[in-house]
Amino acid sequence: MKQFLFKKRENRPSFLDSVANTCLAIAMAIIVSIIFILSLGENPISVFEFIIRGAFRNTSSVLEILAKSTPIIIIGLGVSIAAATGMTNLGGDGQFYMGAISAAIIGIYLEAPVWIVWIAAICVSILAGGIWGGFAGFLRATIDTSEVIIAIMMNYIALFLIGFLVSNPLQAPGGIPQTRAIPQIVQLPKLIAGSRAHWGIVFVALLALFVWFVMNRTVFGFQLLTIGKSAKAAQYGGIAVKKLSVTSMFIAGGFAGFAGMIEVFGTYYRVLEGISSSFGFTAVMIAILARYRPLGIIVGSLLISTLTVGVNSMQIAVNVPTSIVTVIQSVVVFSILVMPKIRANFQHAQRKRLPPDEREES
Amino acid sequence: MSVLLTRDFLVSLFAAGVRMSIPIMLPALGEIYAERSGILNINLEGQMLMGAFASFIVGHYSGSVVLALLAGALAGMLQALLMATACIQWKTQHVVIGIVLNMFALGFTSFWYRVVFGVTIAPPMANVSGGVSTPVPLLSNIPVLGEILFSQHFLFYIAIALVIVSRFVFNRTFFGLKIRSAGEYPLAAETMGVNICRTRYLSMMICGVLAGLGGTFLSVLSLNRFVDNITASRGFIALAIVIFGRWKPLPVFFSSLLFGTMDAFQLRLQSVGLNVPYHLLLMLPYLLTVLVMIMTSKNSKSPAALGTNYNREAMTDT
Repeated sequence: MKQFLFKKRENRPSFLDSVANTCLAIAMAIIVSIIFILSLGENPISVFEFIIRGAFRNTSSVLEILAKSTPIIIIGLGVSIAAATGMTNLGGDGQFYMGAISAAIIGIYLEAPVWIVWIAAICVSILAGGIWGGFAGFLRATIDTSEVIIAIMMNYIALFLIGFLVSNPLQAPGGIPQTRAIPQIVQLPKLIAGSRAHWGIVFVALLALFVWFVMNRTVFGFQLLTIGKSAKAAQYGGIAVKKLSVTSMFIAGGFAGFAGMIEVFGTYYRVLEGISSSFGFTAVMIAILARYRPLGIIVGSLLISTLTVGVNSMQIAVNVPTSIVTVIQSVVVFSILVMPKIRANFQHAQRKRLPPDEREES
Repeated sequence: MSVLLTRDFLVSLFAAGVRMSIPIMLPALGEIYAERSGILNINLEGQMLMGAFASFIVGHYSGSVVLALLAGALAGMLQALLMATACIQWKTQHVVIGIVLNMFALGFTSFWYRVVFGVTIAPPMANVSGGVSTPVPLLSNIPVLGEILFSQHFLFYIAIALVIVSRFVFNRTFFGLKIRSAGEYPLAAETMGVNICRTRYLSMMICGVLAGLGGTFLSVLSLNRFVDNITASRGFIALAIVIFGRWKPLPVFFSSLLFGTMDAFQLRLQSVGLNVPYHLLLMLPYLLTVLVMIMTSKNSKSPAALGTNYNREAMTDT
């Protein structure tokens, strides 16, 4: 196995190509958003200015960007691990909810030293999210159901389960559907007092490094990637395809569950309905955009969070709906996906126009 | 419990079930065309959403049910064409591009809804005539069956007709054979002179039209208003129903009825005031989908080339 350890992955588009594709995709998104903003009767340039100014207006808005991107990065890293074996983890929201509620239960009811509470909450949230994700992976591996459909149904089941729990057995006194707050002592400390960003973002950096290492420098990561390339070849090579596929979905779910724990202990201190604003879907989009590379996921999440924070603050000054972020995001990802093919088709058509003897062989 | 077993309750339950199955039945029927031709159309949700939105706008301003239906069908078809182009022309992975386009549809509809109507306290209504049911003259007088099946919305009768037509198309026509062969073994089909690309485009357009009509029923005819993400993953339930119905029109028709009835059942239970938390009732349709997927996935065989891209050049080059 050792000769595989340091082998570079091949068949990647060249660096120049991917830069060109990314630029074209961003250009597409800018064009589409300009059309949208113009049809609103607003001035695109001043809207963009408002967005950038709003995102970087002061320290707290920059920290807000970090806080917003934390759960998305964690879920996105999980998505990239599931994607290695060819699974699409769209169940991030459900797994996030399960992780959040189980971590909250530990935080509220476990009376122990802070470190033990933290470790217990991390383990339980990873387990809860992992079971939620692993279930979809297990069904895909054993009876070949679509993990996408199962995961989306599981999202709704988790959503209503949380809705039930926070409005019945776990409801805090006061009538609002939410749990009691976790004690102050176990809350994650803030980066700067008074802001929303907390030390969870440091976990995120370590986690991304860890994921990069596992996927690129270990036998386990190599096995996962082999399954994604060709399950048959992997099977022939002695890799336990089914077991590892389920494991990859379990890990993806575990990451999303962990993100839930981080949000509960770092930001909200309790669980309420609507604690996840479709983090799972955003994470999948960003993971696709980053071609499932950890550094790309971090950069992409930071960019999208910047956009969200900017648009949220801009809304007070200019009347542009926040859903423009979703539009921009999907246009960028769509363009990234189709741009290589469009460029190839274009080059192909150009080559055809030359007389036959001048066509270069490629 | 006795209130649940009276004749009136059961009749109204099943009638509501039939009504609630329409927005799943039409998209599921369309999805059969797409998947039988080889395209795994995860974008069904987005096509429904686009249809729901476009028909609502047109319905709101024109008040005409025919125009609203046309707009819904057209919008669904355009979204499906986008998906089809990405899959056929640009050969992207169907699941991935479908997810991205669903997101696009969600953002697009929610953006333009706010642009057109702004933030209002009272949500605008579609206000088209035709939201009510149209009883079939003689048949609706049959005691129980007539009340359940033949006092329905006219879109249900259209759906029945479409199910029968689809069954005929798939089993008895050359076009149906083309679609099936494109989804089973495109290389062999192309060798025999079937234009795979055109067949897949056509199938996707049919799918888009039906999904758009399903969306229209939700926004204009059923709810009479549009809200963000009005489809609430009905598109994905329809995808599950296609698997449950083994990619065949008639089984898909009956499974849609089953799901519609389940949906009506949980709504009725909420209104009857049983001592069950309503969150758990809301969960039922999704739970049923998971159970159905577990029970049937092993036995239902998908089209062999489902979700793969056909590369015409590869046929001659290699």
